[in-house]
Amino acid sequence: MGDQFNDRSYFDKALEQLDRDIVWNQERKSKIQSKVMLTIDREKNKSRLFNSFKYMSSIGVMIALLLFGYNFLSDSMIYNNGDGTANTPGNQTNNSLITGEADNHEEKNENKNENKEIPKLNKSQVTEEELLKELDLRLPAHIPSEASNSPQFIKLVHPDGNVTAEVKYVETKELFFNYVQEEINEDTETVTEKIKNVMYKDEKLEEIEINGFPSYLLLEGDTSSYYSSLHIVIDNHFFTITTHGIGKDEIIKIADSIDFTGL
Amino acid sequence: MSDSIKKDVEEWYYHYSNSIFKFIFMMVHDYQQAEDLTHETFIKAYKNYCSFEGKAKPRTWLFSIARNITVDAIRKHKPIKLLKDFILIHKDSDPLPEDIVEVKENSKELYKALSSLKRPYREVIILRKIKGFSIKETSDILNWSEGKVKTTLYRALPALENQLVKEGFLNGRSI
Repeated sequence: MGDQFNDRSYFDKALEQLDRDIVWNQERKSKIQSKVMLTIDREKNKSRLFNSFKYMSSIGVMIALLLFGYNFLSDSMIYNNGDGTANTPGNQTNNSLITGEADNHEEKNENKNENKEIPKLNKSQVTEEELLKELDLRLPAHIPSEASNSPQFIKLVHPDGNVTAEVKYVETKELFFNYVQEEINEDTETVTEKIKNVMYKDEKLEEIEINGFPSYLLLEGDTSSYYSSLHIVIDNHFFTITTHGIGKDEIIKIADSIDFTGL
Repeated sequence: MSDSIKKDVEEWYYHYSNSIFKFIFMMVHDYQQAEDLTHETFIKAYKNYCSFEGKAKPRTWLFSIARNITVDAIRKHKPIKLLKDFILIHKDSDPLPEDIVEVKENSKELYKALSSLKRPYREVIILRKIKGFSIKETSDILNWSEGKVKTTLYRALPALENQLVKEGFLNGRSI
């Protein structure tokens, strides 16, 4: 039994050699090291700032509570001295609501801070109008309702001048929907050949037609892929819909809603 | 406290960054992405330092972080990456920028064959055979059972051999 999984092979030495034969430039290594250290310093500063902010907020909340308590007690004393009506449950509710508001405020500030930690700046991010100037952009008319909020438009210009438009509709753990339209220099035949034999040579692709154009669908779960991908090939244009958490029918409905007329 | 964490991370970088970069590079075949993910690995190690209990060696722990980050990146960018690779017409004739990363001639065939294997095979071969992790360490990094590590490697090696034969780099010798 011990020998059944004997994993010695005559590649062993060659594989060890492969590790030695991949050489990473030491200057680049140092550059990445500096970047790591810089990021760590930034993280440290952020956490310091965040802690001081929390400290200051706590002091602020404390002062607000003290002031409120003082006013509240003064009012109670006036009431007690006047018509004798003491604290009402309403007053108590208000009190707790105010405290709650302060907590919520603090929570919101914390969230703001968390959001700040992930700056999502993309230099190639553009508006839809800017993209339209660069490319005959064809967007799907049908978008799943959960993904219909303000998409991000990204423009990529290739060295040969071809433009790729990437539209990020939604990117959460449960739901992902990304759309790419690419200008290409190859004909439909070459492209379909590459899809089948290069891009997905080991995967089970479903060949379908979208508005009369050859299309290839790989569904999440069918293979080890986490995402579903639908590629549509038109001469000089290549479309890809990538999703997670969206069913096959819906993916096809999205694709069917793209108007390819005149491309 | 955070200064000592920074110092540890710096030391780890000194010792393991090369190895981690190469592991990631063999997984993603993109030196820029490999550098980004190497950077991300050490930042994640810094942020999650408190979860490092010292049960595993720092190297094993760092590799498990690197592996998770890499798998996430592959999953997330696979369709886009495929598209980019596919669209860039000069990709095949565009060699690696050797001033940044170089795969020496002797090992190019093996590197190519390894790249063609499916991810689990590639991972287990890299960790066990190239990086020299034990079965236990490999199972910790991959979050697999030790049995799965053994059986996957048992299948991965012939798959690598077949790939080398298929690409004409080997004449059907047996393992």
